[in-house]
Parts: sequence; structure tokens; C-alpha cells
Amino acid sequence: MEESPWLAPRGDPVADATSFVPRARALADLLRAGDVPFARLVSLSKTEDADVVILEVEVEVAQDRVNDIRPQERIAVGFRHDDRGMPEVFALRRDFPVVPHLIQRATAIPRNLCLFEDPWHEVKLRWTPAYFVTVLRGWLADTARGELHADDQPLEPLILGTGIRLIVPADLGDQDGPVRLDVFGVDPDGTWPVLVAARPEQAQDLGPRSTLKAVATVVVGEAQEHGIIAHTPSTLADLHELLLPAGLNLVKQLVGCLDDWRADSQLLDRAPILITVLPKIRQRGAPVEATDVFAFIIDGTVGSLGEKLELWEIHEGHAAPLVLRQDPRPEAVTLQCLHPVSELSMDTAARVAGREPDLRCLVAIGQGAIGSQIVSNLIRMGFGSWTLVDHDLLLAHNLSRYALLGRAYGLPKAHCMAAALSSTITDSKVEPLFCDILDPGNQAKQLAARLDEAEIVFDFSASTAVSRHLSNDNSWKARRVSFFLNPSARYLAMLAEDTSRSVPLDELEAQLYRLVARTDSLRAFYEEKPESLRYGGACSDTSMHLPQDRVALHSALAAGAVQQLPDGAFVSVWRLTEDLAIDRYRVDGATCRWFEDAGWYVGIDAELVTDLLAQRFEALPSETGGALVGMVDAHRKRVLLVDAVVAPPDSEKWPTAFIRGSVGLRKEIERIQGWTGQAAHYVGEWHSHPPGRSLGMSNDDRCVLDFVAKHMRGDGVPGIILIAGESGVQCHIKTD
Amino acid sequence: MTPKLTFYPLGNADCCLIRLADSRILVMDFAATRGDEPDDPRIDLPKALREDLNGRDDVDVLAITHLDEDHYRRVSEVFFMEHAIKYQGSDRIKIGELWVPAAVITEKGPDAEEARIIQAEARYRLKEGKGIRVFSRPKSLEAWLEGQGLKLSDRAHLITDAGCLIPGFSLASGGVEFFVHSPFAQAAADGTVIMRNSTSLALHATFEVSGRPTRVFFGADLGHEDLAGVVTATKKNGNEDRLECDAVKLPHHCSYLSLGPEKGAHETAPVSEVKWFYEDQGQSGAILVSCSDPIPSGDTNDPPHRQAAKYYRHVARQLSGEFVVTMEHPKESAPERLIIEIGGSGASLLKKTMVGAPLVSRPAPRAG
Repeated sequence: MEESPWLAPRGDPVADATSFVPRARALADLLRAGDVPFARLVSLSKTEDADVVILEVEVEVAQDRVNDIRPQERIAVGFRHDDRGMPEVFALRRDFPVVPHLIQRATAIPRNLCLFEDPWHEVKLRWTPAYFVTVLRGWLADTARGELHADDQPLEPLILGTGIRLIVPADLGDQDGPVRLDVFGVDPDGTWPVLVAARPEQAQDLGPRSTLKAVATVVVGEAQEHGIIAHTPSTLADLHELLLPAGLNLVKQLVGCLDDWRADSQLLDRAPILITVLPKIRQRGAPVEATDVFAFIIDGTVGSLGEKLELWEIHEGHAAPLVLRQDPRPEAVTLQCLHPVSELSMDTAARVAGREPDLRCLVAIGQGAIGSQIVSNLIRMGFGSWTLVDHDLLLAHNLSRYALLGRAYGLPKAHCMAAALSSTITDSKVEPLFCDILDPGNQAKQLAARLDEAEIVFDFSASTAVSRHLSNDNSWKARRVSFFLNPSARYLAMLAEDTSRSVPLDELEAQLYRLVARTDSLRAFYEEKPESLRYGGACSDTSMHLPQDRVALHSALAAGAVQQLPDGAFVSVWRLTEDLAIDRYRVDGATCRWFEDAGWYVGIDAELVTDLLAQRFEALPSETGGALVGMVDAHRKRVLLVDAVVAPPDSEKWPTAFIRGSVGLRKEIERIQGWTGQAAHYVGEWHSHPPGRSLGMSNDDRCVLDFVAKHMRGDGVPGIILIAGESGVQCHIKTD
Repeated sequence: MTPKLTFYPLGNADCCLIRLADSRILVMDFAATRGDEPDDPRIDLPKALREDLNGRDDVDVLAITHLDEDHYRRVSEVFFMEHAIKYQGSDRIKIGELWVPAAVITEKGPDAEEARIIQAEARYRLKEGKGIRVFSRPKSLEAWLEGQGLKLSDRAHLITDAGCLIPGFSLASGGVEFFVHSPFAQAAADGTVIMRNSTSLALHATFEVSGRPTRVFFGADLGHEDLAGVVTATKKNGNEDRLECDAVKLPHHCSYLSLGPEKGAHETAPVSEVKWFYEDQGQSGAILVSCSDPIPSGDTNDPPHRQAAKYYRHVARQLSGEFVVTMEHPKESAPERLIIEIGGSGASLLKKTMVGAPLVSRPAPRAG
């Protein structure tokens, strides 16, 4: 007689569900009534501690299936009488495959499906019979498609059930030969202990908080096409058998390991742990796609394990080897399953954030409040291989708005950050460089090398000098991006050069000033100036009142902006409103045209040129004009035009002449100065020429330029007049 | 767009809407069977089809596989008939091309009025020389054409024979090709060409999505002798791949006569050719669709026959596939459209559920 494809459910059959716990009865009744699409009741049974509903479900499957799930599957659902745990779900088909998201049990068959990731007390809130059937059918359909488990771990093994978690290094299996790990226990309340395994040289930090000490050995198997641990072993002999297909002779390796450990009497009292690393491949010859890590804690100590395996006898705290060794008897050694969890790596950090890891070379200039928090945000999302450049030491007041906690007073901020991030994410690349970007001294060579290999250099220094320096240093090619807060930390500004650097930082700075000056809601950017904070007795012992909530908020926005960085240049400002909403303002970066004369350079961006030409066109047939405001880099003899103030009302406009008036002009320019934090001020004059006239200066124009140059001399800047005509604009520069 | 086949719960009656990757729509048979009783579980086909046309007022193809009422009921009410103004309301669905077996043209005076209207439409279109495709070219067709003052060669471009692909469809255009299996001609002993098999139109469609072919057999009402004839002819011509199937519209509402001559006590035994068709040509995971009433638990004279269903279930299990009945999907008490999606992993029978689906797909009862 043909064997039934279905396994018999456990328990004794019962005719109806009247004696069942409510949840089981609800499912049984609903199925019996035929009210659930694609599901039907098969039978009911009862065990000592559970009510069992056997149902058949219809699964949406394509013909080509990643896992052999059939269009009809028979399932047993066991409801505990005390309702204290998740109902257990078993596939009753004899040849139901090994798939991801099964719960490991002492016996592999029937397969125990893991339908819910949330704990039972959460699932309970939404559990209805129909919901349960929907989830079950979805689980089976997703498993058929190979989509149940996210792409990040496509070959994930059977999920271990409950158990003690063991945190293991992320790079397990990268080394040849057996590896020893020291294992420390963290057991805050005695209920859910967590063990931490670390290489002996890295384990010192973990020592003081340990409550339990163990020692682990790591064994690495040959790559397998499928998982080989299909049930939970309970003895060393059982585990040994399971690992044979992976080319591992576990007992032999363990005996070798114990021979090494025997010499260290301190290890004899520790609990022994076995960690098995089993690389997995999709098919023979294919690269390793995933790695199954299993861990087992052996009952007793290293000392007692050696005795059970008849390797030695413990005598006065020492292991005395047996001269005549018997064959080890692994069946006498019992063990329990641990739940290994990998340490945080860049890869897992990215995946935890729902991102792809991005390891491009980046340099951060400045590790103050915002710099430390942006870098910390990014690296905890698996973003960037960083060099942190900073010349500051960590002081107590810094910690109120810093990425780090603790008392690392007096240490270089760059080093503190690098050490903290490296120890958080084991394979992160974070290099500190304790130097002043403007005066790197003996670090110049190293700094140059890092800047040279960087893809993006971030300026978190909040220093105009640093920003201008970065903008004008053409000895390296990386794109530059600057972030800074306004003095009250209610605004965050971002200046992003384009990838080809056609709009450098200082030109973007001028465009930021124009954006601020022209936008009502941004005009407080530079005007909000809280009193400075004195944290010590020296003249320089001052800082800013920057609240951590705003720094954290803007650092998070900045981290998001970094990850979405488009190729083009732009200026962005985020504003925290009074009711704690965020507004964002953004303009594309406009390229500048530069004019040079008398040792000075004057730049005007395409956006401003367009504005001036529009004003000219509107005024035709008359000329028009006004005053120019700009920002001056006296050190580099560069003037960047920020904006043009419209012609005051008392100006005179003729077809061949323009006389700029003055009513209200001073106030307007003072306002612009205020809105731009005094960065933009009067720099010269502009006017238009009618059609048919060149951009060259007329005699009148020369008089104007002389006039301007004469009056600007006292401010150490040249005279500038700009003429807008039908062929564009032309700047004329003169030093008096 | 993913190609889809939609079968409607119509009782023992056929209608399948085929939506191609290029959005073209073909309707294989149309039998609106739902009565006026509010608890009739059969779908209101005219309404459902209009919904599924997504705003379009036409179909690219309407195929009437043969002139039995369970394949054409209310066609003349729902579709726009070119041959008479009487059937040309603006709310009617226009037919790009009407597909009929030659018998629809040549049959002498069908009894049913609706069949006569369909015949008149097919004859009109053939005379006009557009909007029609006729399958097979028996002598009787030639004779009819001559009666209209036309030669067979004048209309040869509108006629497709068994063993040929239907023009206008290819894997490159529409992502599908249709191979004609029936009706087919066989040479009689005296050398004349006669029609010996059923006059039903039976097709084999090959869809291709992401390089994966999915083959669907539309079995009309073929009896076991017809199907055996199809198998023999196909094998003889070396076209076995044209009978490989990932989905089958089972013939004749799950009648045992489409499998073999005897119903069988428990399970119908198919004749050898039919057995080969299902068991050897059926692909892993294949879906067998019975356009029929629910499978009865006892013996019945009319289809569906439980013994035939048992055989189909047996085949489905063997193929890790499924046997599904239009009036039982998703449940017998509230059947809904049965949709097969064709993708890069072959055919999938969709089993979506939504809260209140049975409520929102029909009017609520009157409240007082």
C-alpha cells in the first residue's frame, strides 16, 4: 500500500473542538464553516498540553519554485493549553523541504515553521484565525519563491529557537586552523544572559563586566550547498555525526584543542564552547554566499570535558594526562545550543539601516559637535571609510553635544572618535589625523595623501577660513562639501560642490548669502546670535550655546543628505521652525565668470548675470543700475558678487545715461549685511548699456570707476563697476 | 505587463480572457450564464468582462470555439455585430477579429437563434473579407464561398489550418504564439479531405516571459477521440512540443468522455493518447482548469464527473501542480474570477484574498 504523503499529527483524534482552548476552537470552527478562502479543516487532535488543528491550505505558487512548496500543504497547529507561547506550526508533508525560517527542534521532521518574528505577546494582539491563515499561506508562498528571507541572507540556516545569545566576531572563518576565543558573560538580571566571544588580545575590555567565563574553539567546515544541521544535537557524538559531511572530524579537532588548553590551568574551570562555521554556496564551485554559524556550550568545564573524553584526570587543579588514552567517548558529553549573533560589521550596519554598504574614501575636516555626530550617523549605517582630521582636544563642555559619551578629557577628538567607532563596528576604517588643516606641520604629508585618495572631503569645521582654504586648494581633486550650523543651531547650511568642481565652495558661499538675503524665512540665519558661553577663565575659553537636540536633528539631516548626494552643485538650508517642523530651501549652484585686473579677481555667477540682464531689458530703452554687494577674500584678492541692490527711487534713467540715486540705499545694504552676518557688503556699482553699445566703459563710466575706487581704497578693496549690455556683462576693476 | 488568463465562474460554461504582454485582449468563448436569482453564485459575465477591459470598449479577438450555447450565450446582446444595425448599440463591445471554426460558417441553419446571429456575423465578415479568422478549409467552406461568388483563394489569408500558427501573434510581437490543433482535416481512404474530428477550435498558446516559455492548451469541448486524434496528428508531424502544457483549459467541463470511453467506478482511465498528453506533456507544477460546476461527490450523468476529476487530481499531484474548478475557486460558496498569471517562473494561480472581497464584488442586499 502506498505510504501516505502526510505525517500523522500528534495526540489523540477528537471529533470536535468544543473542549479546545478558545484560540484553537476559533480556528477549527472557522475552517469547518468553510469561511476561510484557500483553507479547509482536515482533522482535530488533542495532546496532554495542547489542542491541535490540522488544516490544508492552498498556496499561490508558480511552476518554477525556489523551494519545493506544493499548491496544497497540510499543516498542524498546536495551541498550548496555557496560551503562554506562540502556537506551534508543523508541516505534515513527509518530504517538506529544509527552508529558511524553520525552528530547530530535537527532531528535524516534521518541520516546525517560524511564521512570526515578533514575540507572542505582540502577535497575540493581531492574531485571528483568518490572519493566521493569511500569514501561513503567505509564508508558504514566499518560501516557494525564495523570497521569505530578505536578500541580505538568502542562505540563512534554520533559525535556532530560544537560547543564550553568543556574540561572535564578524570575521569568523577568515582564518585557517582552530581559533581560540575567550567568552565573557553579561547577565544583567539573571534571565537572559548574553555571552561575548572575543579574541584573547581584544578581550580585555570585556573582562570587568563579565559574570561567567568560558573558552571557545572555532572550527570551519567545507562549503556546503545546503544546511547540514537539520536538528538540534544533544551530545558531542551527535554533533560530530552532523558535521562529518562538512569534512570536519569534530572530536579529533576538539581533542587537539584540549591538548593545547591543558597547559593553561586557568582554562580548566571555564565552560567549553564549540563554534562551527559552515560556509554555504548555491552550487558546487560557486563562491561562498553565506555562512552558517552554530555554537554549542558543553555541559561542565574544560577540566571535566577532558576527563569525560578520557584525556586526563584533574589532580589538585591541574590536568594530568592519561598515559594510556582510550578512544574518546563523545556520547557521554552533553551540550546545549547557543544562539550566535555576529558583531556589528560595516555590511550588517548598512543592512540594519536598509542600505547598501558604501566604503568609499572620505575625509572629515573637523570633529566638533556636528562633525562627530554626522560621521557617527553615517558610519553606523555602513557609510564611508573615513579619515578624521581635527586639531582639538576633548573637553568637558564638548560632551553635552558630542557623538561620544564618557570622560575621555584631554584626548584628541579625532582619536576618541576613531577609537569609539572602530570598536563599535569591527571592520570599519576610521583613521584619526591630529592636525590643523590650515597648518598641518609635520602631518602635512599624511594629510596630503589622505586628501589625494579621498572621493569627497567634508568640511565640518564651521570655519570660513577652512572652507575658503578647501575651496582654493587645487593640489588634490576631491569634491568638497561643507556643512555648518547657524549660531543658534536652528539652521543647517550645506554647500555641495559638483563632482567636477565647476562651482567651488567659496562661490557657493556667495550664493548661500544671496539665498539668505532674498528669502524672508532665512533672514534670521546670521542674525540669531545667542550669547557666547564661557567655560573657563582664559580669554579663549568660550563656546557657543548649541543645544544637543538641534545638533542631533541637523546631524541626522546632514547624514541623510550625504547619502543622497547628487552629482551637481547646490546650496541647501534646513530650518527648524518654532513648532518644530523642518523647512528646506535649495538652489542649484551657478557657475561663475571671473574678471581679473589690477591683481584682483571679481566673480559673478550665472544666476546673478541673468537677473541683471532681466533688469536691463525691463528698463529699456533707458539704462538702469544700482549698487553691488559682494563678499571679499582680502587674502586671496577675490571678490564674489552676491547680489545687486535695485536702483533707488531717486535714480535717474536715460536712454544713454544712468545716475544711481541714494534714497534708502544705505539701509538696504545694512540690512543685507545683517542678513549675511556682515559677510556681504557694498563692493561697487552696476549699470546697463542700451542696444548697440559695447560693454566697454564710456568716459562717464570711467569717472564712476574712479569715484568708486577712490572711496573703496580705505577699505582695502578695489573699485568695481559692472556693465550689463546686450552681449552680457563686463566687470571693470581699478585700485586707486 | 504580465500576461494573464482570467477564467470566470459560469457553471458549466466557458469564457477565458487572455491579456497579452502588449495589452491586447483575446476572449475565448463567452457564455453569460448567470440568472436573475440574487443568490446565483455565477458571475455576471457582461459586467465582469467590462470591468476587466479597464475602460476599453473593444476586444482584439473574440473566439467562439463552436456553436454550443455554453460557449456563446448572450454574445449577441453584449458584442457589437457588424452585420445588423440591430446589434450595434454604443454600449456594445466591439470585436477586432472574430475567430470561428469553419463549421460556424458552413453549418446549415443552427437551431438556436443566437447561434444563427453569430453565424450571420461570421459569414458577413468573411464576405467582407475583414475582421474574421476561420479555422480549417473543408470542402463545405469552399462550396459556401462559391455560393457567395467568391473563391477559396480570395479568402485564403483569413483561413488558418491546423498545424499552423495564427498570423499576427509571435513571441516577438505580443509575447505569444497560437498553434492550431483543431479542427483538422484527415484524408479519407478515397483521398478526399474530410473532417473527422470535432469541429471545435482547440489552440495551444506559447507565452514567453523573461525567456521562460509557458504553454497553455485550450481544449474547447474535445472528446477523448478528438484529443487522441490531435495527439496522433501532432506526433505524426513531429510537433510534440506543441502539446507540452503548463496549464490546460480542460475540455468539456470535466467530462469523463474527454478522457476515455468509460466513466470508471472511482477514476476514469484515459485512453493511451490522452494519458500521454496529460502525464508526459504536462509540465512540473502545471495547472488544470475545469470550467464547470463544483465537482459532485456522487455519480452524475452530466459533467463534471467526479471520476474524471479524480484522474485530473491524480495528474496534478504527480506534477506537483493543481487541479482547480472555476465554481470552487476560491470557495464554492462564493466563487470569484480564477486568474493565472504568467511570469518568468511559469504559470501561477493567484490566490489573493482581501477582507470583505465577497461583499464588495456584488451588490448588498436591500435594507429596509
